[in-house]
Amino acid sequence: MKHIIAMGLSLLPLASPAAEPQPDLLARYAQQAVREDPSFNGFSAERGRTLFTTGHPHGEDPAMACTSCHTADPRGAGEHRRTGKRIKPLAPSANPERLSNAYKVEKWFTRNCQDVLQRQCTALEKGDVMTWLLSIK
Amino acid sequence: MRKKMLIGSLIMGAGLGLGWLVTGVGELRAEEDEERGQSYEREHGGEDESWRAPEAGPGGDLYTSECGGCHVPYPPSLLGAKQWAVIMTRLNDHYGESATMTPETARILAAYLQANAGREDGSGAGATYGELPRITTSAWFRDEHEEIGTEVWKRESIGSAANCGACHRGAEQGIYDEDGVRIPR
Repeated sequence: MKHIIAMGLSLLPLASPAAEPQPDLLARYAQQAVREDPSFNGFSAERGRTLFTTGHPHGEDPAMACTSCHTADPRGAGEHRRTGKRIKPLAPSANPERLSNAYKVEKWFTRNCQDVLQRQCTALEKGDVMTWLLSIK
Repeated sequence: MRKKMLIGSLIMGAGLGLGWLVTGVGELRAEEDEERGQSYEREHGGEDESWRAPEAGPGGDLYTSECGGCHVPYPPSLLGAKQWAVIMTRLNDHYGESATMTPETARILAAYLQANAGREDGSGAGATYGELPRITTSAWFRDEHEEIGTEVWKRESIGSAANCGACHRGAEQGIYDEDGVRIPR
């Protein structure tokens, strides 16, 4: 029994900030997306763009959207809406470091989906947004 | 009252500074302080550790990467140990935003902040976010920024008192001395 728990723990994804870069993150989101919805039929850059640029109003901020900090152009720099801190471009074509580290990608989805949508994103939503960002030239 | 405190801290600072020199550590410290700018040292006797960047190494690097994404990685010595502990228990509502991280990361960071925390009474009587302390409303912060008018903080180029780097151009590197201050229009 203990053995099984230990095995399970070792399989926990993204458990450590020292995790190696994992370029197969998109494939992993696809596997999760199938589990979440067996009719999953691939990611869509267009759906990703829509999710990213659509407002998700809630109590404190009626204009809340991903673009509140990142702007509508992921090739350009953004700015944190509260602290004013500069945010580097999200599109890997403009900032090659982006999406290269699975731990960081998952960390930011975890934080920012909560802030923007007031819930966690589904694997489909994360994969869609990633696919869109990767498609931007 | 303020003057008295200032004189007191100058005397204390001078005394402590002398202590460092006697032990020989002062030479090292003086060099570091020189790099970080001299005006703050002149004012405070060179005996304030509030202006150090997060140290290199596992804790400091993690602090910079986990916390420095949304704001300048504020020097840990700007809040007390108790205050950091409170902040670390509320990462899901971090001044209105999610700053969640893995439990292991949070554990390392909490230990790092405890080891590098500053004076315990840093919060002063200023406003807080819920139970969370704010550096920018602490008594010493308001003293240091006394001459900055409210309209300056509101400038688009600054946006927020939390945006240290707007005026303290070396903030990312932990340099906050007055020589490095350029207040944008």
